[in-house]
Amino acid sequence: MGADMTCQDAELLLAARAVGSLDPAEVDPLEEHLRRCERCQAAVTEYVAAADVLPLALDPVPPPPSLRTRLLTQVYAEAAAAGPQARDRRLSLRDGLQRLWRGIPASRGLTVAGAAGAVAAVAISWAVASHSASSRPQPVALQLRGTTAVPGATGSLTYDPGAHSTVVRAQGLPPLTPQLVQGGVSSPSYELWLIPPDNHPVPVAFLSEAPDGVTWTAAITGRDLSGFTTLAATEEPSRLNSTPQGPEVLSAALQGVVR
Amino acid sequence: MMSSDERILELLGQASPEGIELLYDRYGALAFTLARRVLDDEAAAEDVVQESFLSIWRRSATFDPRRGSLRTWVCSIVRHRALDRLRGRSGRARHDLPLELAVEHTSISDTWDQVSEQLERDAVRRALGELSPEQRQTLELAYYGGYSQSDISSLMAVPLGTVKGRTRLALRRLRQVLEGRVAWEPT
Repeated sequence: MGADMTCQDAELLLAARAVGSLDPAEVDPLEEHLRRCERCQAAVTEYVAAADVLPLALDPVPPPPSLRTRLLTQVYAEAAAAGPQARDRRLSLRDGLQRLWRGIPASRGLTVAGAAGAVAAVAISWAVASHSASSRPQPVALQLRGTTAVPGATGSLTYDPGAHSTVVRAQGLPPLTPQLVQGGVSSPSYELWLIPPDNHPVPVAFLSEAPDGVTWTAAITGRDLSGFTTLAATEEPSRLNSTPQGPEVLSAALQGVVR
Repeated sequence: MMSSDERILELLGQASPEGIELLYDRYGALAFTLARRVLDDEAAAEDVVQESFLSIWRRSATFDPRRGSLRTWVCSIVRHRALDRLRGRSGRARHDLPLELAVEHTSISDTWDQVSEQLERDAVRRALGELSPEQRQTLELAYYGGYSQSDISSLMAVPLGTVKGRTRLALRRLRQVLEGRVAWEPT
């Protein structure tokens, strides 16, 4: 078979093409024939439509809600990072948060999956707010510093007192590697905590690794930072702890800066 | 009135994250089910689904309406990524795929979309039930296992021509049953 493939020969291969089981040697000759033959192109559509329904026969397996929030966190964060294009979209903070609240677990208030997904909405709302009257409190920017555990880590937080929204970005954090532990595999994470004056840390979000593999981001919404003394990030062995278990990797003093 | 798919495509064309959100809400469950079927591993299926939707978002995968519906496109991307991941594993242990016979399934739903999807699912299962076990297994090995026609010929110990014929007849029969037609001739 080659450039002289007949429609009869091609039709034997169209079904295989629709289910993705062509032998490699058959691909180019068939594609060449299809480029020249409208009849077989029409037949392709029919076979593809038939193959298209195969997944519908499977017993549905619902994906975990965390998959949705994890995906949308990354998408909205990338949209925000896209710059002017993202800021020009008429996307309100409230609308963004309302959509992201769907499917976000009730615990933790906001995981990085849900909370960081508001990064785009936060960034966009700030761009809109910058054109409005100056009666709105100005955002506060602070540096996060690495600790003795990870001296090379750096970061920043930007806090909007008016919206009680915070965007955290960090770099220089070591990659996280799942560990074998008794009973299974532990998936470590970088978790953010707000420390109040009584020194009982409040978990607020998980840092999410950006596609560049260097930056970690998170968004904290609905939290007035003026009641806290410190924002800290720790490396936690799992996402199930109510108090920090691992070493502190980043911190920023809030007292006296955030009002 | 714009269909859901049309709305999704419009938003994706505008590089709006809402487009991905709507796309996932519409096809995410199907994508996950498909990935899990191929990989038999929920964690791996999650990764594949996330990578697939991110590829759509990042424009590395572009929709061509000539190649099928939005659903076809999403399933195609997910399936290819899942098969790539499957092939990347050392030692395939999928030589004995079970025959997946159509199973009658009932459910109670409170939305038209869920009812419609269940009706379509039931119809597809009935249609698959009308195929011979060998035809079903041929489709399973090709679609979910990623095997080539030659591979299937070896696995099922039948001539290559038989595999080609079974694949062709299976899809044609599937199409006929779903469309309620007695015979289908290519135009």
